[in-house]
Amino acid sequence: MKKTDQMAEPGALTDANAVERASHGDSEAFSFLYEQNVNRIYNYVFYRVGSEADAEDITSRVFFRAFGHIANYVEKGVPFSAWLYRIAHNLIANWHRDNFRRHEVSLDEHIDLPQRIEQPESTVEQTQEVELLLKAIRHLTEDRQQLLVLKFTEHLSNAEIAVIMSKSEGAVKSLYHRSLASLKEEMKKIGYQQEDSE
Amino acid sequence: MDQFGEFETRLTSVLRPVRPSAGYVDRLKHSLRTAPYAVVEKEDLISPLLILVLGAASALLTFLLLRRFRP
Repeated sequence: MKKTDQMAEPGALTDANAVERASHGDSEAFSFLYEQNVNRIYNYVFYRVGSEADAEDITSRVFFRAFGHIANYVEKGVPFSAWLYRIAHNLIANWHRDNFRRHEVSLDEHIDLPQRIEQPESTVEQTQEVELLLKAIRHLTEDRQQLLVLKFTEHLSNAEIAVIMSKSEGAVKSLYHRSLASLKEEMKKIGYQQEDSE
Repeated sequence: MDQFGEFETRLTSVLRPVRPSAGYVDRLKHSLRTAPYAVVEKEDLISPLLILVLGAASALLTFLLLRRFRP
C-alpha cells in the first residue's frame, strides 16, 4: 500500500512539517509559515495599534523576530500562530511604551486603508463607529485588548485564546466578560451611542 | 448571562478583519527570503590566554634549564 501523500511529493510542505523544517533552516518552509499567518498577524496588530503604517512596521518585526528565533522554537503541541501572537503582543506592548503621546488618527484620513473583507459599500458612519470603538478598546488594559481583538476579529474560541495568552480557559472566559463590561463603560465615557437594536 | 448578547453581535458586525496590501505582503516576503545571514563570532578569550600561558611556561622552563646547566 503506497503512502501516496509521502511518495508523490516527498518534499511537500504541510502545516505539520513546515515548523520543523523552518526550525532547521529551511527558508521555503518559513515562507510557507509566513503566508499562512501574515494576514491574521497583521489583522491583530492593526486593531491593537490603529494605524496601517504602524501595523505594517510591527508585523514586519514580528516575522523578522520569528525568523531570527525559529531555530529555538520548541514544538509543544500548540499552533505556530500562538507563538507569533505572543511575539506580536510583546512588540505591541513595547510600541505602546515608546509612544506615550496618543496619536489619534481619524480613519477617514487614511485613503489607503487596508482592504476590508466586508461589503465594498462601507459607510462613513460605520467608519466613525469603528474609530470610536477602537478608541475605547485602546483604553483597556493590554490583556483585555488582546482578548477582545482575538475574539472579534479572529473569531478564536476561548480555548484557542487561552493557549495564546497562557491562561486557563476559565480565566479567559472570566476575563472576557470583564472586558466586555469595561468596554461598555469606556464607550459610554467617550460618548459612543450604540445603534438601535432591531 | 446574556446581558452582552446584542453588544457582542454589534461588535462582531463592526470589527471586521482587515487585510494588508498585496504589495506589502510580497515585499515583506522578499525581505525575509533575502535577509542577510550574519554569523556572530563570539570573542575567543581562551586561545590567546592559552598561548600566553604556554609562552610563559616555555620561557620559565628555558630559564630553569639554563640555570641548572650553568657551570
